[in-house]
Amino acid sequence: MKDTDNMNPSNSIENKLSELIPASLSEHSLEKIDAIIDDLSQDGFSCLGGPHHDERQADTSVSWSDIRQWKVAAVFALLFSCSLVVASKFKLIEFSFSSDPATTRAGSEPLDIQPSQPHIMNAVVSSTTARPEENQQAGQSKPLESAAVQEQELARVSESLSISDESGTATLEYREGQPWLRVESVKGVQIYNNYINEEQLDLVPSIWRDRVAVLQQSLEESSKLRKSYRARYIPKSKHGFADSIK
Amino acid sequence: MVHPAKQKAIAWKSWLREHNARLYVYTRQRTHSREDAEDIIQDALVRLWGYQEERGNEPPDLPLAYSVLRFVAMDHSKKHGRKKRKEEAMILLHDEDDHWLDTNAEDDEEASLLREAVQNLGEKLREVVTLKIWGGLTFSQIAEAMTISPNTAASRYRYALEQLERQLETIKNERHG
Repeated sequence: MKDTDNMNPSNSIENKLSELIPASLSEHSLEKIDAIIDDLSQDGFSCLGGPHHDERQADTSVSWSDIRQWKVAAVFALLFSCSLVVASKFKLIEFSFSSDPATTRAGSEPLDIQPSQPHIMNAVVSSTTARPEENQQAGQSKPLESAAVQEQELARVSESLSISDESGTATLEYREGQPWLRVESVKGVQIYNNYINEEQLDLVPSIWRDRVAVLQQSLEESSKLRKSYRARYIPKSKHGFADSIK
Repeated sequence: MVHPAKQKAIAWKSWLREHNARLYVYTRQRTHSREDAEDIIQDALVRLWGYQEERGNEPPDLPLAYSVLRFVAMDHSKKHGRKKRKEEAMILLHDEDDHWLDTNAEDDEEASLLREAVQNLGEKLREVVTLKIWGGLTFSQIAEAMTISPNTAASRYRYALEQLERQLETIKNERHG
C-alpha cells in the first residue's frame, strides 16, 4: 500500500490538516484509566472493582447462562428423540402420516393390522361411509384381520358415492353388479331406496334423477382408477427376467 | 525488582500516554461529547486488556485498539442513541467549547475553517481522515480497523480531501462574500 499511502490528491489540505492538533483525554480521565489499569494488573478480571467491572461481569454471566441453556436444551432434545426412536422400535408408539381413518382405527389395535392386506382395511372402512348398518355388523362380528373376504366382493361393497344438498342426500352404490340408489331427505326420511334401471328411474324424484347419471359416471371412473395397477419396475437378473429363471 | 504486574501496568500507562490524543480524537469524532468519548475509551481499554491476556498482557497494536474503540463506540451509540437524541439540543449548547481538534494551536482563520469542514464530513470519510492524519495508520491498517478493503480506505481518503477542499472554499466565500 505504499503507492496509495503516498497518493496525495491535495497536498495543501493534507498539510493543513496535519497542522491541526488533536485534543487529548483530560487529566481526570487519565487518572481514572490509570486506576483501572492498576486494578486490572494487580487483581485480574476476577477481583475488579468499579462500574466497568460489574458491567463486564454481568455481560459475561448472561452469555454464559445463555450457552448453558442452549446446551441443556440440546441435551433434552437429543434424549427426547432417542426415547421416541426406542419407543417406536418396541412398538410402544406408532407413527402415522396418513389422514386415512382406517390407519387411525388400526392404530388402536396394532395386533390386528395386516400390512400385507391394505386393500381389505380400506374396503371395510370405506363401507362405513357406504352402509353404516352393514358395517356395524361386520365390525362387531369380525375383527379386521378376520375379514378374509375376496377383494372383489369388498370392493363392490365399498364402492359408493353420495351427493347432498339442501333437499337431501343421494347415495349410489353397486349391489350384485347393479346400481342401487338411496335418497334421503335432510330429516332422514327415505325417499327412494332401490335398484335403478330404465323403468325404476321414473320413480326417482326429478331433482335427483338428473344427478344419477353423474353419480354413476363418477363411480365408474373412480372404480377404474382403483383397478388400474401401478407400473412396476422389475430388475433384470443375470439370467434374464426373474420370471424366466427356472 | 519491579513486580511483573506493576511492569505491565507501567507499560500500559505509557502506551496510553503516547497514544492518548490519537485514541481520543478518533473516539471523540464518533461521539456527542467528551464524557462519552472518555467512557468509551475506558470501556475499550478493559476489553483490550482481556484480549491481550492471551498475548502476555502486552499493550495492543493501534489497529486493534481502534477496532475495539470503534466496536465499543457503535455499541454505546446503540445503547444511548435514543437518550442522546432527546438531549441533543442541550448538548449542542454545552458543546460549544468542546472540540475534538484543539483550537489553542489555531492562529489563523483557515485552520478554524478546516476544523469546521472536517466536522462536517460524512461519518465514513471523517473516520478515514482521522485515522490517517491523526491516528497514524497506513491504509492497510485503516482497512484492518474498519473492516474494509485498503482500496476503499484510500478512495475514501482521497474523496474526503477533495470534499474538504471544496467545503473550505465555500465557507471562505460565504464568510468573505
